[in-house]
Amino acid sequence: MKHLLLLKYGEISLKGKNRAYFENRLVQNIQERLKDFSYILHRRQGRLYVECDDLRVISILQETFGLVEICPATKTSPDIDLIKQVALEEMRRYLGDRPSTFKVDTRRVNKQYPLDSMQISRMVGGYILRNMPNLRVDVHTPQTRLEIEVRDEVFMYLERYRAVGGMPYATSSGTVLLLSGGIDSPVAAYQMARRGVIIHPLHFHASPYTSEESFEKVRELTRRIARFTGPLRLNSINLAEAQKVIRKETDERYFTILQRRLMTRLANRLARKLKAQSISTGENLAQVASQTMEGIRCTHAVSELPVFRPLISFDKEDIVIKAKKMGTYDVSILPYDDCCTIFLPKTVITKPRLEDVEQEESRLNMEEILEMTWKTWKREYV
Amino acid sequence: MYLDHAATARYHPIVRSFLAELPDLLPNSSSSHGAGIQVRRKVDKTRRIIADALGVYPEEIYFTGSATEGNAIIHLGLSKRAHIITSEVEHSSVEQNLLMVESRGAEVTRLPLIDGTLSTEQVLEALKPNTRLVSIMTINNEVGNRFQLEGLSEELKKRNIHFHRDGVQSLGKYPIQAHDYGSAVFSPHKFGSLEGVGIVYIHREARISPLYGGGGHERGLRSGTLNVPAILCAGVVLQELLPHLEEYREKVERMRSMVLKTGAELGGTTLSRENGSSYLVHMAFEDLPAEVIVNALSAEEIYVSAGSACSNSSKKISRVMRGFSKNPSIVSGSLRFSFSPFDDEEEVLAACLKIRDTIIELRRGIV
Repeated sequence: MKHLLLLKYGEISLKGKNRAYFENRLVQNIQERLKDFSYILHRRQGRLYVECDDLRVISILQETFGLVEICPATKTSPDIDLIKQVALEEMRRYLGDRPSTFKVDTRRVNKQYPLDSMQISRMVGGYILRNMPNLRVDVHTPQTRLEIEVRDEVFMYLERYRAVGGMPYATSSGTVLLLSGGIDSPVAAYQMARRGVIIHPLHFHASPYTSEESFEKVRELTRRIARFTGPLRLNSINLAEAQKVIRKETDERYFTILQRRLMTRLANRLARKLKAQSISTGENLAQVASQTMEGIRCTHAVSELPVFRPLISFDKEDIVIKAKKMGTYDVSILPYDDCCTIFLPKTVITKPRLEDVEQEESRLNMEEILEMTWKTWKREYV
Repeated sequence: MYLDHAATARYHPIVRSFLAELPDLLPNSSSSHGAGIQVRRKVDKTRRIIADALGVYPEEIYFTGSATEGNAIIHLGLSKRAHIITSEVEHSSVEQNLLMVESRGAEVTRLPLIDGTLSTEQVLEALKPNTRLVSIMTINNEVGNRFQLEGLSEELKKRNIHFHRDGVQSLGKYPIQAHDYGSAVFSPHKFGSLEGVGIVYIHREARISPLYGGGGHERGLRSGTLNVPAILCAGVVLQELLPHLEEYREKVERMRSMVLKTGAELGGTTLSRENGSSYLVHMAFEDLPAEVIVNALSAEEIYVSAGSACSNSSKKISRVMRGFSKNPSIVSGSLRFSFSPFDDEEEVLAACLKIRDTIIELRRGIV
């Protein structure tokens, strides 16, 4: 194998007794994501190393939750003369004749090693300085930083690729994520998955009042989210009949809020079925009528499980930037409606009062609507 | 039941045997060796078949990658800063290119329809001293109305104005004589041949510059290796179709009548004129958005189109339909049913019954 990559993870190393659990999951996730490559994964003394031939591995690891940095490294034996020599070669390869300020940082994990960290840094730094006249030492803000890790073997690296961070996927319980087909909900999925939460996407459609194309779009979004999480199964529920009843029996101004309350109830039901512990949505305060504080209160009232809204305080622009970065934006903006215009009310109440909403809802046989709608639940691999 | 043959038609039965007999090598038709020359001869034979069908010279026929490309060559290659006349209901491959030349300084007049069609007088009245191009489709692809414009080509010829026809819904369905036009485009996949090739007729005296350079194929007008299988197939299919045009037209006309009758029973409105193309028909149900009907029928495996397939995904679904009707519920309820002579009439009848049930079911429970 030509390349050696040193993988750094952030928060996991703070975990106490659970550390192994998080590490095991991280290793599994890496194995799943690299399954099309030939590589060797080493796990030693709280460090992960990947040996590989294909540098595309780096960009995949950069997108793996739980990793904070990927450093292409060079390995050598713990002989100080050899370390000096390899360090010089690495610096020359990396910098050529370019002038630069630099610093050598050493971590001595192997405490048996005869020289301490400071001594190693000084000796290696001095050797480099003597042989590369264009360099200057700067210990505070160096342009080039050579890190040396002394273990049973010695690793050194100059380049660092930032990874996404977060917690390894699937180290937390599941959440039912309401996936609409818009820009926000895939970003919400990402934000939750990034904290290790297992994602159970749930899409509400209204076939035939919404199109197969709009469902396809949600399938594609699910596939894109799955790039970060591994294979996902998309849940879907058909609201068409419920929409007809709500539209017919109640004041149209309450249509949106009543529909959202129904969605929340169905999401809770699905969560119980899948043993998920929460609901997550892409809601964002005051972006649209149903996402005012009052609106959210009215939908939240029917949720038994906690509802997480990771985007609640985000500006639209920030959500768009994140959506573009994670690669869902171009799919989200495809112009397929997720609710048919024949059901869309002409006016909505932007600041509903819970009592009024409950009053309006009492015109409906909610139990019957729930049962009828729940029967349309489907779960599919995308 | 597929009732969207105006988007892409069912392959003519001969296509299957054409493909089965396709050799494992078709050399590049621009190679100078014997094998290349043989292919070139076959392509030129197809050119003659098409030229004969259109009543033009073979050297006036060019092959492109699609009819869209053909329309682009004409509209971008011909129109500089001049006046252009077209209709409000052209296909996007005409409209979008005219918008482009408009932004570069050309002036475009879009004629509104009167009673769902256009007259020669309308065009003549719109002429200006600097009119250089008149571009009007032969048959509208969403409603099927025909724009016959009798006597117009002579009038335009006298004035030295280029007359372009988008004939995509005509060739292989109706006899069409192109020699009076300055140019015309056609599309084999609309008459049951393979996709991936467009046919362009350009009068030998017309001067049109290529859109891009390359190896100089198609006498420099359209560089790029020819899609030889699709070209040869188009010739084979056309030869099979031409002797039967009237018989096929009568057959699809019967299917069209079934749909018209079903629609009328359900209170639908059609914008298709009686003398419109037999191969397609427009139908609108004002109380139901077209998309909903398309989705519901799709679930029953009946495939029809809401407006033109090319404009579906762009929410501009209604540009062309607005040209036919000012009534927004008709525009948003517009469906197109289109037919193939290789379908079974009984099946179309069965589909009509299902269409009736579906629409009755959709109407249930809607406020």
